Amino acid sequence: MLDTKINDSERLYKAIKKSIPAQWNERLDQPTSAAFKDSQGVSVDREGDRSDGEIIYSFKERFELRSVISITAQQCRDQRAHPIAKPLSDNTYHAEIHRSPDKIMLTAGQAKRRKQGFISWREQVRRGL
Amino acid sequence: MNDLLITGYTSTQSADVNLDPGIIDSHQFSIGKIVRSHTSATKGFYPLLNFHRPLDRSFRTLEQICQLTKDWNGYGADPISDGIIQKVKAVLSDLERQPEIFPTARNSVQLEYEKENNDYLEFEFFEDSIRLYMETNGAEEENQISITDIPGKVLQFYAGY
Repeated sequence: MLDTKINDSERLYKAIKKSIPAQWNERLDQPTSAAFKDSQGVSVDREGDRSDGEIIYSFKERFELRSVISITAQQCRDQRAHPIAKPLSDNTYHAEIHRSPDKIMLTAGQAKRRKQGFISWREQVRRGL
Repeated sequence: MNDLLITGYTSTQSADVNLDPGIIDSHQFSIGKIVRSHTSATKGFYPLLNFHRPLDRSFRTLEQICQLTKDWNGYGADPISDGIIQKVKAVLSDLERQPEIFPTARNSVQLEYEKENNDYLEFEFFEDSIRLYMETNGAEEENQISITDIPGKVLQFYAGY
């Protein structure tokens, strides 16, 4: 059972799906900040005790992937965003990133900066696809 | 009439004339306005247009967004409201440069511009408002904007003032 407290060093992974229209800006080869704008909070998976490969495999079982991107909980908090554990019946690693403890939707600035944070790990994760 | 205008534009491109993208967008801007005026009675998108051109690609993306169904993001997102689609559709033809267009899971459509130097301009279309977010030279600006001010803001962004 995962601790509901997300430590600063823990990584949060987001699947960018091969959807139409895409959530990936092909011209710039990076995710759009639109991918982080969700009225329910940004849906991510916690690292837990898993390796990159295990996490990517678990995404691949559920989605057709364009990429997997990640950010640390500390990077989220540096943007004043609020990562919270939200385990689902079929995914104990599930979490959400909210604007703040009492507001769900990220600001445009948080979404954009979040994008830059995710980018820093994108290539490393993508190699596992 | 539409066919003649579109053919003339395409032949310029196929002659391998090395045009600056801004010039091409400017041509696109004029043609877009003319095509729009000749198809204003058509409710849907523009079947005669060529998807290799920026405006036509924008319309195609918007049409794809229009077709999103419930749970399109795998996390319960609702389809994008028709009112938002119509607002975005209305502004696209007035833009000298076409943006990247993306749906969000909070019932909005996002138009993005990003320069080589990472300056960034975004318009997020909601049902009842449009939000601007801009990062230039490391400074952020975020506020509400009127639909009629968007073409000018894009020009300003690329003019660098």
